[in-house]
Amino acid sequence: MPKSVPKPTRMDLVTPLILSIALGNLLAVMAAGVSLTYAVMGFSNFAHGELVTIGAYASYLFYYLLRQPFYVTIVPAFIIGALTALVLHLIMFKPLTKRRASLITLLVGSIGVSFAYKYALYILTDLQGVWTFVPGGRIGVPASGGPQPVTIGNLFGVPISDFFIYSLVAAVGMAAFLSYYLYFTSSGRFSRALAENPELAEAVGIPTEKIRLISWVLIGGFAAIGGALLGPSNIFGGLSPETGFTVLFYVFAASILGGRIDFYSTFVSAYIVGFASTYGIQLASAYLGIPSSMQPVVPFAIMVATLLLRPEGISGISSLSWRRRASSKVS
Amino acid sequence: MYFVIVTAIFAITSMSLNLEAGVTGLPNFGKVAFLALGGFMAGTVAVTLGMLVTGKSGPPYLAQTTSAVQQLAKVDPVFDVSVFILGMLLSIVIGGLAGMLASYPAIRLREDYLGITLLAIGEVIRAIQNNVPAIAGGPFGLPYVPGPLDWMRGTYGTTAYYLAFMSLAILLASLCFIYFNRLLNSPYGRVLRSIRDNEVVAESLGKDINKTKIHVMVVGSAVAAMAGAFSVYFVQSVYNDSYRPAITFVIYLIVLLGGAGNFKGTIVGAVIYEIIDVGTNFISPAISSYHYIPANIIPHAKYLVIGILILLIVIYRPEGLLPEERIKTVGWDVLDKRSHS
Repeated sequence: MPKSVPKPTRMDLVTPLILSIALGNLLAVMAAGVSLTYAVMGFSNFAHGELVTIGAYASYLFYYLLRQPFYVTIVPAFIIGALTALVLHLIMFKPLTKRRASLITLLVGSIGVSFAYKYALYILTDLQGVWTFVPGGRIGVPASGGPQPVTIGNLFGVPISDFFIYSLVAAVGMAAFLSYYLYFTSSGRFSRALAENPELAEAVGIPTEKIRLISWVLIGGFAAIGGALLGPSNIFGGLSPETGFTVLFYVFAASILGGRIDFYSTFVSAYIVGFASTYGIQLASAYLGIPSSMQPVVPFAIMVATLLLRPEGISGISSLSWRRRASSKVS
Repeated sequence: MYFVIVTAIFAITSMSLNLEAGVTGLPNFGKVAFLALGGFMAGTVAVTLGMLVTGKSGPPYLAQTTSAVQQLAKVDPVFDVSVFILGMLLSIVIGGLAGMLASYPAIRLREDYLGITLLAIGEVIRAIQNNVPAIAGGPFGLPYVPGPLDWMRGTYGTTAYYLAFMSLAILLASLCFIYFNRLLNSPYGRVLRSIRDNEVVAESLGKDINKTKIHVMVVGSAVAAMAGAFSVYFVQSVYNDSYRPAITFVIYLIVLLGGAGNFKGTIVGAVIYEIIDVGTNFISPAISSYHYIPANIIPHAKYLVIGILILLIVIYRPEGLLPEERIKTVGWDVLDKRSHS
């Protein structure tokens, strides 16, 4: 993270800007998954961070095995993420929701799953140095073996890596895809109906279980894409099984600030969290004397502040302009 | 004996979580933060007092500052015991205060948001301590904290020391158990259970939900802080890293495993967990002798087992090993007798 200096130079203004946008891109992709989980299943999935990590490791693995550029390895990573999410749903959440388990049970269950995934990953990466599947090769991938960001240009003197462009494309592309999906496809409309009122949706004849399966595929896939972008972009330090947990709070902060099921405001709040975590800490350390090592506190502060002060977050901002238009018609 | 002491500490903490989550339905995912607060308070108190008495000054996380305190602790029983008692009392106070602060969100938030918020608050507390060396040594921690029975080590030998500490631990755990059990089986305990089961009904019957929730958070946090302080006096050091959030979920596992709402079950759960913990340490040398498997798998395997256990319990036996006992009132007893006669 950039340190603070008394007189901001161009570097100090532009680097955090790039960083914030990059972070926002990643968070947008991941927070969409959390919001989708909350909308379709009704609870917050603590294992989402692990889906991200698994996607990151899968992308590394395929890069190592296939030697293809990044935008190709994203596809198998998406598939792995989707499969993992499906397994998660079928083993864990479907039986629990059938039994009408309480929110807390679902939450604790998802925490148990996140532990299981995380430490299974730890064990796999521990074994990496010892077991060989391919003669002369290794089962795992050394951390430096994944796709590396390549500087492709300069913006006001700050180097921009190709991963920045990838993450931008991913975030915007995902936003466009989700908008199209949610409003123009029948399964998207069914998902929105499910989010509003699950019982009514079932009563009307919407195939809720099929919609849930499709949603989990999207959730897992998006998380995997976020993870695949996350590893090389080095925003949270290197890639380790612990990354999922670290990222989880940023993602939850974005989702909570975004009002949990409003897709547009979740997208915007991902960038707000990104900016707060970079510029915010820089400002705080320059003017309030808060050390920049307190940076992990930012998402927590956002979460707590939102939940206590304005629990619905910034949801509904997309309809603000329409309200104004409507009221101007009346007068 | 080490086993018994650690089990006792886990048991006390888990019983406090059981009171909050199992009986009252407040998911305290930030439990480790209260352990940490108690530990930090106890460590700071002990070392600061020691430095005051010995007249030393300087950062408490350096061994050269605390070596004089160590010498004093070895010789002076009055110093040891008074530091211990003061530390425990102050940690209870700070635990209670923190619990009162934490009850602010507990009153206002729905269950899953409350869990996330408390987890977040816990991490914030840990992050703050990590950056402020004045609080229990910050990122460096306190390498030495005088314990209550240090004076015994020299004169009576290590076995006697551990025996005495163990009896102290068992005493504390039993006191907590008796206290929580009586709380559970009282009218107040029934109010707590009604908050968990159906808040609306409880409120309609005139129970002050908010005040009760504040009470529960304060008591639960105070007890957890006390357990944290006690563990610091046992391990005789304070390190920020020992209060990772994963520990809260170990405590949760103990509560779930033993049975939410049943304090006997919590003790059983703590024993089982400690067996798993110590057991994995035992098989570690056996496993690493297979040169196919690196040794650092073991702590990871332990947490993997914990995660899988949580999963299995939640899916197959959510009520735990010892399910909650039926309510013990005179009316129920009469009904029971009538149905059996």
